[in-house]
Amino acid sequence: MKCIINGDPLAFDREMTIQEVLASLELDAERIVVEYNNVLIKKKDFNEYIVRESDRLELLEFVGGG
Amino acid sequence: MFRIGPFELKARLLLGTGKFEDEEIQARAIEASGTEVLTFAVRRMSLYDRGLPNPLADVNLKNFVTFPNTAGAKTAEEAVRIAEIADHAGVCDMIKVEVIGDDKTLLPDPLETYEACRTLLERGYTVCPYTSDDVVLARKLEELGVHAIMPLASPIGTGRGISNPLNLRYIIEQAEIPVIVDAGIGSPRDACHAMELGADAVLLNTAISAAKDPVKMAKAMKLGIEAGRLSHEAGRIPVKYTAEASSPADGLGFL
Repeated sequence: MKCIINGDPLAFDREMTIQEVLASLELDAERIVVEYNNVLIKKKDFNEYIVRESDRLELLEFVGGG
Repeated sequence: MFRIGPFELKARLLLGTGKFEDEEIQARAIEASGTEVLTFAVRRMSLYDRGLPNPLADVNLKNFVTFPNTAGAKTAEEAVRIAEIADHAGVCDMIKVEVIGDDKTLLPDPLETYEACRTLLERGYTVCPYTSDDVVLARKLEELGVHAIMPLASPIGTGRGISNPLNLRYIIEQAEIPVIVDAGIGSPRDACHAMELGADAVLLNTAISAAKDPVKMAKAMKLGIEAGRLSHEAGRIPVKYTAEASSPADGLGFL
């Protein structure tokens, strides 16, 4: 399965939930804001959404800024 | 005490969180500044370099009025999208609408800023636009319904102080909403100047985070802002052309 994460194509060996994608990338789910095919997803729903071929994920966070 | 939308604030220093060297200095500078409001940005997470430090990750935003910016946006649509992301994450008490229209000077795009404010107001946000020191734009944004207006002192990160004190004064005098001077402040003297002109608050970032000692500078800025506010309330003397003795002219017969 190949999806687009933060603009880059990434390949996984199977379809996965958002939670599993974050875990496989070793990203801290607490810090992340996820946009799944242009829809913002609540943290409690990370296990509900399955990432499939050609889906687009944006993984965002808050950083210092003024 | 002043009010931005539903938020009553005592501290007149609002603090941006960019460019701090590490989380410890940032935490101490935040404390020394006495701020109640923190500004921050939204970015893509780095997938490949997870070692990149993010000093903001250690700040408990829940202890502050959260004031994300829309920095990076070049259109109204992008600014609205950033606001929605911050709101979705529950860290958007107020939104700093920042739509840059020129890459070299980082001056804001007035038309896109206005459009972004219109949409965000319709969606119920507490909206504070970053603007140039344009008096007419400030009035039109106030008429649109924004909750505060944030004219620059000078371009972002230049530390040049207030380029056009006259315009800033016009903006402050006409405004019925808070005026927060944002960007271009270099030293406590500049911050004090803004407050003496009658600004309600100052939003700082680089002047503190890039100082040699950010913690000490945070305290200096806090004091400068307080001094400027007190001076504004006290009412300074007029500037005169001729000297006027402060000691009595009478009683000099013994000389």
